[in-house]
Amino acid sequence: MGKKSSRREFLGKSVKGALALGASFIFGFGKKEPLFSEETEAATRASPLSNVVAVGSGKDPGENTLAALALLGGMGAFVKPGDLVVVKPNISWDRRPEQAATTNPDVVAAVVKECLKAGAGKVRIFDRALNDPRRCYRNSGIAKAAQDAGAEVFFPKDYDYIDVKFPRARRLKAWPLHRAALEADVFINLPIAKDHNEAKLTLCMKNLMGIMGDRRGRIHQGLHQNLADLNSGFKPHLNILDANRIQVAHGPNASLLADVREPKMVIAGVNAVSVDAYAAAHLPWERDFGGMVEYIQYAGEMGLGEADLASIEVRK
Amino acid sequence: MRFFRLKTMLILAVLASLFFIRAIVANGDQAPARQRRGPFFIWPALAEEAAVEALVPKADALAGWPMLDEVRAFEGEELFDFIDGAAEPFYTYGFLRVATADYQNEDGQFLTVEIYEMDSSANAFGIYSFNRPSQGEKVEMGTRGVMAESILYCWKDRYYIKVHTFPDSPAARDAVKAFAEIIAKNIKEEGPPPALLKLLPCEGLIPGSEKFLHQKKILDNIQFLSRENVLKLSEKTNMVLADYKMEEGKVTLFIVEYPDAEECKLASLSYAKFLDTPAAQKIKAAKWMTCDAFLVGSWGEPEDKATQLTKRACANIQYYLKLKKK
Repeated sequence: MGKKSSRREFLGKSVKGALALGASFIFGFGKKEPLFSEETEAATRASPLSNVVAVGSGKDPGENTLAALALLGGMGAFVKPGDLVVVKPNISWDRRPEQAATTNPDVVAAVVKECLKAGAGKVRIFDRALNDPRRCYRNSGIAKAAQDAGAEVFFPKDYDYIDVKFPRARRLKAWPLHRAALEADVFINLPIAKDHNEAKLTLCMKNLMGIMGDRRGRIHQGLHQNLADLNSGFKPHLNILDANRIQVAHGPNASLLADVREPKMVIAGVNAVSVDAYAAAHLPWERDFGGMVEYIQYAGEMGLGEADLASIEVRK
Repeated sequence: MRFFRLKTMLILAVLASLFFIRAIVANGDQAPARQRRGPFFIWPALAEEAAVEALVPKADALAGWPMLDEVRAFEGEELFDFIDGAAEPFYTYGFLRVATADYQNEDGQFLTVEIYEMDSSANAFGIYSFNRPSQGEKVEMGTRGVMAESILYCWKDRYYIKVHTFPDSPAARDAVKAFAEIIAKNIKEEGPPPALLKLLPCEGLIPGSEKFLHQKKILDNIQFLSRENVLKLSEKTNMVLADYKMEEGKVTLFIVEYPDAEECKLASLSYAKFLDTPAAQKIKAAKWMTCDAFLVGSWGEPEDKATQLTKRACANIQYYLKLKKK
């Protein structure tokens, strides 16, 4: 703190800044058009899996992941040879896996391996951590699990966000999203299911906050509608919800093992709204949040996915 | 020439006195630090800003646990950058600023200190009561708090404190307590808990179950009643809840203090409507009573015991109001 920069440091920073600015300019920094959502949404709607939720359950988190994927036709149904795959787990917190604040590393490893088995050219993993990113990546066990499985793990940089419009939004009309998520051939959303003291639950739809840039705190005003709006502008190709261990109280950053339960499940689907609706209704939450979680309800009303449990096909 | 020097010195002396007086006044009032900011009052504002950072144990405060990096601080909306969605409840309790630092021992164990400055000691207790676990080891070491697993939650004066370690070990837990003790020593004032706590009947009260809050979004996390704000809670209301052990079952008693009797009456009408709903029956909402600007009610069984508890709380309130009039 308070250390003066040397001329060399200053020049170094200036060159880096100029390069970043130049790269942003060349690659389209400041674009206002959605790069991803419309074609993905059309494909999602046309998919015979659009209202299917697959549940893999058992003792082993990795096996549960494979079981859920198999019920959706396997990873090959989503990843084609040579594809650039981006996987977005929850690595937000400096917690160990048993604390269930971050996605189970065995689930992450299983997803990476399946992507590579399906022929992915590259699998990249990132999240915008809230605590010290180095410690989050390390202590969650995710960096090592992902790297050992063959993925590239990276930290998002502030200059790597692109403004994206959400044309169907009711409230949050645009927000900068991370370039890696926008440029992926296949984007896999890989959250952990948790209690959340403001959103009630954090599942697939809320996990997308990890691709948002800027001051995300601003979206907490009107959070439920904002989450639905974010999901109207960006749709993952595949959502895999880790519910092997879940936090049922003091979320999203609970640290106590006393707040953790073990449903031993992985819930997957192409539509985040359906996966979330199923998880909200069927996981062993211990507090009453008054029926449907609002952001899931709003997403259903906006036609972003099937939120009506009676219309969701569950495969086990 | 000499006259001009004297004049300059006099002006400087007057200006220095003005700043000095302003510093005393600014530190003496109860207004939140954020409201005091202004270019003219830079000095007291900076002193206030630095206060919470100064409470963080120094780099060499505990042998074998040097500080990593430096003390970080977040204020206002920046809290979202530190704890994301967990930040929202803090704003309902008058959050001002948080200072945090990490420490690491030779074995590679991490220890983190978080000190949250709130606008009053009542609100520091409030956010503590909201975050603390229901079970844990009671901690009395200059702070009032609880330790569960390897995390210590406590509060003192206007500060809510959380100290935690990773990975867990008996030695690391001892270090957690030692750090909390250092912080407690750094905070000179005790700070009173919310006055409403005194109105709770003592008999049967489950220690550590007391919670203090203002707004519906906090109550929703403790006991969801309805999507509607049936108790008409707001930043102007104070609410306490506590659990009571009965021979059979458990009762949660609540007291809400409104700005005046009129607002209390409006809230009681709204709550009375809620009692006719299935949601109220589900939580076994029992009889409620009002007393001046206070609404008292309970949830749980057995109903007759819950009603007795409500009456006892009302008696406490009446006694309190009498004392207040005298």
